[in-house]
Amino acid sequence: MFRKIHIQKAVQDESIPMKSLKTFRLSFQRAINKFSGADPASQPAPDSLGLLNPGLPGHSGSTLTGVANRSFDYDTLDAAEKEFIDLVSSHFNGDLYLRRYPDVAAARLDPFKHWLEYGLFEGRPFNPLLTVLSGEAARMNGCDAQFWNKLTFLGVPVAYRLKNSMDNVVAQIMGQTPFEPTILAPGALCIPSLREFDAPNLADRRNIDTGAIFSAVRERPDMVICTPFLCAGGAEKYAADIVDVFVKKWNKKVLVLVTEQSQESASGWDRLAILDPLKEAQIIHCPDVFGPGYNSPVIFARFLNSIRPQTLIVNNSKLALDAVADYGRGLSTSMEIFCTFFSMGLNGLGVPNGTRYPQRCMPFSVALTDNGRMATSLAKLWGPLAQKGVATIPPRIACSGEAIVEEQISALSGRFQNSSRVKRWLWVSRIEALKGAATLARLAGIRSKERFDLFGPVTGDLQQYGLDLPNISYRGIVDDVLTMELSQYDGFIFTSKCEGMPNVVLEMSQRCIPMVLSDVGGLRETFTDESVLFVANEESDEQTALLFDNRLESLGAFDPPQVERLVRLARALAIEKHSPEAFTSSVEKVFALNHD
Amino acid sequence: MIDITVTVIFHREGAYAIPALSSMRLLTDRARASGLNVEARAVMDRPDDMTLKIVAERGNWLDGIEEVSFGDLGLSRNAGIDSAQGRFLSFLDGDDLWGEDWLVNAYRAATLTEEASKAIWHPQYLYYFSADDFDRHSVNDQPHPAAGSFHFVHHPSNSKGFDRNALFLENLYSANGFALKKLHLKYPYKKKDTATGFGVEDWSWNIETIHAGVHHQVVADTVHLIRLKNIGSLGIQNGVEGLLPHLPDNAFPTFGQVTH
Repeated sequence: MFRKIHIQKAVQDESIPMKSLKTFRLSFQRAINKFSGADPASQPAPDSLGLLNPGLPGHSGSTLTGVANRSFDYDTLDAAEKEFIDLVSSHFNGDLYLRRYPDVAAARLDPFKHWLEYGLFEGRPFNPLLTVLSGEAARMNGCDAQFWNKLTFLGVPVAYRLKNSMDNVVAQIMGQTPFEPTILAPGALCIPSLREFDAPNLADRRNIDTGAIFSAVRERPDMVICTPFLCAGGAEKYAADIVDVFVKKWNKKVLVLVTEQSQESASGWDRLAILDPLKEAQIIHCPDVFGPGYNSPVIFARFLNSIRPQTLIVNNSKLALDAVADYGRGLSTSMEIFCTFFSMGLNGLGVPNGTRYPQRCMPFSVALTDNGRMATSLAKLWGPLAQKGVATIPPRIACSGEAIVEEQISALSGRFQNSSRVKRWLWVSRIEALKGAATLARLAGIRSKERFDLFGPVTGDLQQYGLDLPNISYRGIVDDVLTMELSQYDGFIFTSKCEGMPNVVLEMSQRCIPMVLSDVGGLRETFTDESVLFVANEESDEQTALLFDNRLESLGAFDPPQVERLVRLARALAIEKHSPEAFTSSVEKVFALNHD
Repeated sequence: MIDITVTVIFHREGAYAIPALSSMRLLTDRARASGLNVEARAVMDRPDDMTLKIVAERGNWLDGIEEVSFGDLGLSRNAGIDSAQGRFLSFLDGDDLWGEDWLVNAYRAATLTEEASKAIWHPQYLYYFSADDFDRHSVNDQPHPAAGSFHFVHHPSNSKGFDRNALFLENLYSANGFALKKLHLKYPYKKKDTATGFGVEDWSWNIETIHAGVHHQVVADTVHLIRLKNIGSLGIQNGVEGLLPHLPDNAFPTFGQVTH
């Protein structure tokens, strides 16, 4: 038994991640401190491995040029580290190591010292009966504590295990070679050293943590909803509003599977009022719980099959859509599946789910959308596949109170009475090409004497869309449409080129601001020409901008009673179709079969 | 009284049937030499001409060859169960090989106690070998880093490290176990049903039996040799067809804790 191990640690060792190296060094420092009782920086380096550790196998006493000598006291190691070192040393043969690794022999390095310093971290095996993994491999791959001994060795995660002797098994394998030489394909000598997988640990091959998955699920859910992110988006709000009905109306147990976002990445979601209903459900962030291989449709499908909720709603989650597309035939026998498709986008740009997945998912799931135009398109395009049907649930809005309405109408009247005012327009959306940013830029260019205030997250920068004009002001991101100050605006402009049912328009309707809207998505199902000013999207941004210009000119000439009639009607139409009561009624109709 | 009926299932194995029959013969001879009364049979499900020819030429030592037309592995096994006369049944796939101690050791393990006879026994090791490794060959005792061949180690379903939940995500036991005929009669294999999306007959059977309280055990020092195929394997086909395992109505994971 050796008592002390002398380590030479390369100062610049690129084979070890810097974080690990730092930890490694700190551990060394701590070990040395404990051993010497002095500041390691002031200690002379031990002069030879042989002095400190005469019992090391294969020791040659050689030293490396350009490395800093370090040592640690075996006695300072904890029990697990000692057990590990003892096991390794008892299975280590220096001569074999040097024969296997000619680079170590050529450098005239001590074999055991080399393994401790480098081989361990490089994954150099030295005995087929002892498997040692370090670093990330130890943390993630095949390291179930049931089958592996795990420890932190000098700050680095290590997992190791002894294989049972396979002599009898290998003899039986070799006994079959006269019948089938392919058995020998990997090499007769290395058959005992081939990778080994434990059956209960099989999911590790896919980097899936089975134990963590089922431990994380508190109870069998009635409804599972899969959504990629928890963020301030229309699809996320839609999902949350449906969850709200399941929880509050039907008292159902809901599991939310966030399929593409870790808990850390989603931090702060609970401050988004639109997602409040999700707080009543159990939320699992798949990247955190399933393991690094979380993005596997087959594992996801098997998981869903194991828990078999009554209802599965797939809301924009690519992982879940792939699982339904590939395994929906089986899944749909035990659960009713709904996949949301809001839009087919503009010529398929950006690959919206509505263009990619309906034909693969509709044979097994109800296509759920928030607007009739999309429902019609899906039925028209994929009718024979729509065995489960196409359902529409218009999105829910928070209806504005009369006080807000009267205050805004009063402000509008004052504004529209002043014919000499400088007109000021409001634009709220993500600032990107598909939202009509270029149309807006051209419109602002045409109406250069008027002001345009932009709100919303920017994809890229304003300049790339031509929005860096002197009469355009970027105002940041809107926290809440319902509390925005709107009295200084003549109207709300919506230039989007493709939509489902845009929430921002519905919310603006409740603020009683005149709206000039591109005629997209399901807007015409809610609003009429008497309640808003629609603009058709033309071939070119220039043509569309001219049409918007015409509409703004018309709106600017409205007298106060005309404006009041316009906004009151828009608000009423939105409430009629999107009030909480209307939404709950729609949800009840669509999901009635499950919950009668 | 026949102790064991060993049944190999063929369909379109072609050349792979040659080593399989040789391996099966060694396996059977070894068991018979140890004093066991072994019945050796083949079930051929919609075989192709090549497989028919090979089994006719190289399988003339078999005690029975039954031709069926199911196009379904589970139903073919069920046919084998009906025809078998042995107390214990062992199934083989027609493109694999088996360590020669399999039947002897499995019988010994399964007849040690009354309780042992009620279990389903699996080989301790599965050696998955890949012909592609001829191009990733090693001439020393360390495999090529990209070698595709590997060992798979079965663990008993009542062992400390066994998490029953894991069976919902992966099939933890191979198809070719060793069990009483009456157990097979009680739990027949389920038909693959592509119309409903359920199949994977061995996985379904493993889930069903484990959730019915039947232990799956491991026969020490035994091995089955399983051929890894790039095309034509049942696993690949199941994936292409989008098949999930049948689950008994009462089979759910244990939530909120790790089950052992």
